[in-house]
Amino acid sequence: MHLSQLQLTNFRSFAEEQVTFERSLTVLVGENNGGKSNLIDAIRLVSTPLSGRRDLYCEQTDIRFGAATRAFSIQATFEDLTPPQQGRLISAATDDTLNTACFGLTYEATGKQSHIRPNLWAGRFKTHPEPGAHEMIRHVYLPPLRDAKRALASGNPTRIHALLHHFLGDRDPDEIAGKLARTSDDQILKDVDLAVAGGLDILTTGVRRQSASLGFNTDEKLIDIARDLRFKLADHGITPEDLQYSGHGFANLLYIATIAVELEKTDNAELTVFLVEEPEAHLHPQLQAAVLNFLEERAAQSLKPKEDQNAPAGHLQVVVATHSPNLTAWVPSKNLVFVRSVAPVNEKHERTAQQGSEQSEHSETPQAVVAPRAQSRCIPLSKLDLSDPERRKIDRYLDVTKSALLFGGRVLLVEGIAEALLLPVIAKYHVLKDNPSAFRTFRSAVFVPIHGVDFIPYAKALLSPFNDVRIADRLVIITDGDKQTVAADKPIPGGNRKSALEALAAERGAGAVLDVFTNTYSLETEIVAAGNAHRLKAVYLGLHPQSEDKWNKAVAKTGDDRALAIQDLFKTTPKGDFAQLLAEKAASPSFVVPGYIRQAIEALVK
Amino acid sequence: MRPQAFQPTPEQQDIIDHDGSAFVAACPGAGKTQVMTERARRLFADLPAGRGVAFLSFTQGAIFELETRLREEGILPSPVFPGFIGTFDSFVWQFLVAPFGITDCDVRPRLIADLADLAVTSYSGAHPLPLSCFCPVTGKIFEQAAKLRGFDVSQKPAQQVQAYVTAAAGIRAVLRARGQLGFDEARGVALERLKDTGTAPRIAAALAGRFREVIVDEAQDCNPDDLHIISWLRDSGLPVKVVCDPHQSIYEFRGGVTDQLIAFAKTFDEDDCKSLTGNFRSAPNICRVTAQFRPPASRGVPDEPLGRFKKDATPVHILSYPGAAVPAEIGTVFNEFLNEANIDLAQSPIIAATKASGAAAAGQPRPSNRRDRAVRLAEAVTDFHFAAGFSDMKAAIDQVHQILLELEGCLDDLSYRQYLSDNEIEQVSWRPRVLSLLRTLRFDPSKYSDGKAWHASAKNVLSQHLTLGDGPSLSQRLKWNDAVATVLAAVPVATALPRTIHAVKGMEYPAVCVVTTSSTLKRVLDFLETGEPLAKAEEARKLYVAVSRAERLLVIAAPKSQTERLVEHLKTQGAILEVHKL
Repeated sequence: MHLSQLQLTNFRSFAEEQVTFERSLTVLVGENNGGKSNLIDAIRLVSTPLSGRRDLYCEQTDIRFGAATRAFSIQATFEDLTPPQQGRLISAATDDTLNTACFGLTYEATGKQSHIRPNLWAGRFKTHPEPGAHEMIRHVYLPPLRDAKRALASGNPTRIHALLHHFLGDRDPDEIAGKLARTSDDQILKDVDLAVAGGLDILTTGVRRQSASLGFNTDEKLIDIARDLRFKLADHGITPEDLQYSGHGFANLLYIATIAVELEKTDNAELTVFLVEEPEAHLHPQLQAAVLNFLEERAAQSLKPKEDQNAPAGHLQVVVATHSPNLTAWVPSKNLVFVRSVAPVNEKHERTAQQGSEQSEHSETPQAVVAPRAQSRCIPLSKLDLSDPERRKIDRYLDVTKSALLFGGRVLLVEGIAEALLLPVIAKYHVLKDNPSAFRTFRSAVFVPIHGVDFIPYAKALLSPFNDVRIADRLVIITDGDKQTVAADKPIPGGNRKSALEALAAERGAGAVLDVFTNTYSLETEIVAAGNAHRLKAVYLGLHPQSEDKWNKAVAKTGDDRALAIQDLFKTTPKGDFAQLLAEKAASPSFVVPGYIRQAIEALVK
Repeated sequence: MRPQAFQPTPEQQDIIDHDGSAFVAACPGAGKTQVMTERARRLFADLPAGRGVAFLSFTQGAIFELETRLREEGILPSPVFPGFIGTFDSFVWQFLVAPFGITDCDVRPRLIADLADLAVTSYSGAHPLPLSCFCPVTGKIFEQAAKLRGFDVSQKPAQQVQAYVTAAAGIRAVLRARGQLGFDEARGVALERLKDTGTAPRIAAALAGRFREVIVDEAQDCNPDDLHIISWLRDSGLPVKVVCDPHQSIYEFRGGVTDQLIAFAKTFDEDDCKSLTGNFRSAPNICRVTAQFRPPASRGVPDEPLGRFKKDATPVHILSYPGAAVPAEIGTVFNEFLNEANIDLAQSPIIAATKASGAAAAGQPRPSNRRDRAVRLAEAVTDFHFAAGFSDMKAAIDQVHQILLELEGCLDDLSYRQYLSDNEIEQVSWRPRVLSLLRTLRFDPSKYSDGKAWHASAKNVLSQHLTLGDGPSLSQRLKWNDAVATVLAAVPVATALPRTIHAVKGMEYPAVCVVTTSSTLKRVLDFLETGEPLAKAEEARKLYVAVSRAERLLVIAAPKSQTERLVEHLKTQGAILEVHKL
């Protein structure tokens, strides 16, 4: 069983949205304020914390601002129930097959009473679930880890107390407290040490070996002991030091390990959704993948069939909210859900505009047009129309480049590193020189050199709509004409690519979002042709001091011949080095910007 | 309950240890509850995570007793989930009806407890019959039930009967479309579901994964449909324990039938048919008398007394009363016996087939048959202040709430439960108000000179509570009726409390007084002596249930005309009786 879908109505930044989740790992990606945290909180509200200690409640402010009714609802759907699960969750069944269950939460602030209780319902008839059934689905929430160190070191005892509690079993806390007050070698301490260290070992294998140990003051009550409990952290075999002296990253890892211990107690639930918010905060980049790997392994482990077929499945499902390209690049794109904020441009906007025009006919004063409130929308990448090879291509690319390609907004796709390095300089010193706000917009765009010319998979991923929303707001693609590579009577390859891309966009209703710019030959040739021959020559000679003759001969040619010759010149030139040197020159006020580059920059910020 | 540790007999131990399905026939006092408790203890001791045990019975009272017992013993977890404890009807509702709804109907199904009482008329102003008089499956009229309600089908033209049948079917169709089902209709929907070869096996697998065992107690109260559902559960692979005493079946009115039960027992393997014999409850003379209330064909010998009163020689007392009416002297004499035997009044009920006879014997105001609102209100007030238990109190509270709604005109087109369900009215919203009203309206002779004074005061109090629309005034809606005076009573004198036989099912008391009436005893004795008329078999079973509640002291009040016959019959198997004339 797993959480397969979440449906939100008027919940915070969501007006009406359905989000799908993958069986073991789903990564919510997107810009800040996109609505990722709201999704996490929705799951926290609609399920029970594993520990039983709820620390998030429905509030009036959760109702989407400006919603027509003062109410919100969250509905969680769970798929693939086994027969014993069907028996236990029968009151939440959504149809006669019993394969799917759903729980929902409706919060209505329409009444006059000051204290509003959310209504929990289940099943297709939205009735009260059988008492106890809803508690079979749990969650563990890992907050953004910025405060992990403080949470552990500042004497907040609850988490650690909870940890201790797991190991107490049936033993009397007071008795143990007494024992602990006198000696520090009680089995519990060893158990805790062992479990935490175990979690850490799994977590940091291949990164850095860690060990943790617990220390107690000589207080009487267990809760007091827990309050003064400190995790000390050190490298293997070294006397543990106080947490303050350890690096942030390892403190955070310890935090995760602590909750990993809690996770070992998930067996009594059918499903535990592990909610991780921004694991990248203060976490070493290479550890981010380790953490995610750890979580995914746990989720995979939990799916193994248990000895007792009828026991609660104890499944684990991980949902991560992040804006780290490192994390998103690490997981297959089908596990990504892109969360973004969009202004509802469709009917509402049109209606406002229409009203405005009607009004102006009747009155002289212009009506203040109320800007439609942005709302969060989700695009599960698994639902986009991509073939498996295309998906694998994107995954491979992201895995290596850690690109922010799928973070959406304005995206510029170029063939190689040279364009990617050169364009910001050109924009800054030439095209957008006198337009700082446009330049800021330009800077916020994502630059993606795809190291090739097959833009189709990327364009598909960025432009394909899901429920009328797509990842990219603007997509600009620059591709070389490469006329010199084909016979004179053949169509220019760049032109072919351009029309294919434009057709693809049109097919997806994204004609207005995409602009493709192409030249006749290639970047170097076009820069020469634009009137920058002497600058390019200097760059070339900087890299090939002995080849002035070769340069002069090539540039002296015309048309296709010149393009072929220039292409030949740069065949042996390291592209990155070349672009870096050219970028230095391009800052000069006398640099002449080729037309297609100017157009591309302008299109990106329009 | 028993101070000493439970030492099961080999017979009991066999049942406690038995895994898988079984049919257990138990005689009264055979330690059925104890055995079920021990079985539960065994099941819960090594219950795997995520699995539960379902405990089912047929009345709220029986479930309340069983749940209390299991909780006292610390066996039942809290919450019970994934286990289940509740009435058979609620089980059917929760697992076979509520999750699936009604075929071809998209609305949420809702259980309306009092739907069976909805009035069916062929034309406006015609004699109303309750919906329960019509078969929920075929729609046909139940002739016997209708006759009891003053509608003799054989005397009516076919056209008129058909008009009733059509009206009932129309009501049911409307209710069904709104998702409103009574218990009978719900069972019908469940049976439809079990016939659905797509869904039924899935439900079976789901329930088998969840429940390790299903224990059905008091199975003698099953009707054939219930038995069908129980066999389906068993045949679906769930271990089902069916526990019953076929002689105690007293719910013929809801279709509980002994013969089907015995036929059902035969579908179990021989090894899975168990019996619990021996009587751990009653003294020897009570055991002997009890046996004489079984039908002649299966009377057998008296159960062997095995409990703490097995050596107790107390005779069974027969109170012979003159005339046709049940006299209050029965209660007085019973009290004297109790004093002599030093038995607490509160634990010794006066048991009768009807509430009226019991009240008469206890010297309490008799309930009236009049259904006037003022009478019902007076009766509810009396019932509340004389309540023998929480369920009686609750019934009185609900009754007053219903009367208030009637007065406000809310129930003109809807049944009480329908109204509550349609308007999603929760108990907390009205109970405090009704409770304070009940306290205010208590009949205190120092406050009210007579029934009329109480009636006037009640109208005054109610007028402040109610929002009456247009139409008849409160006085018109709450008319005076002479019966009001007879049902009102002051603080009760110290007396044993009357209970109906249905209310004491499954209970045991140190002493009981069973009241028989001239209208039934003669024919019951005919049946017990000869096996005829068969129609009296249920009355005989009721008396069997009533007398078998007693531990030490059993008093039977009988009309003088039948005393001698009764004594002769009861003595047959050696019981020692003592006859007292009133």
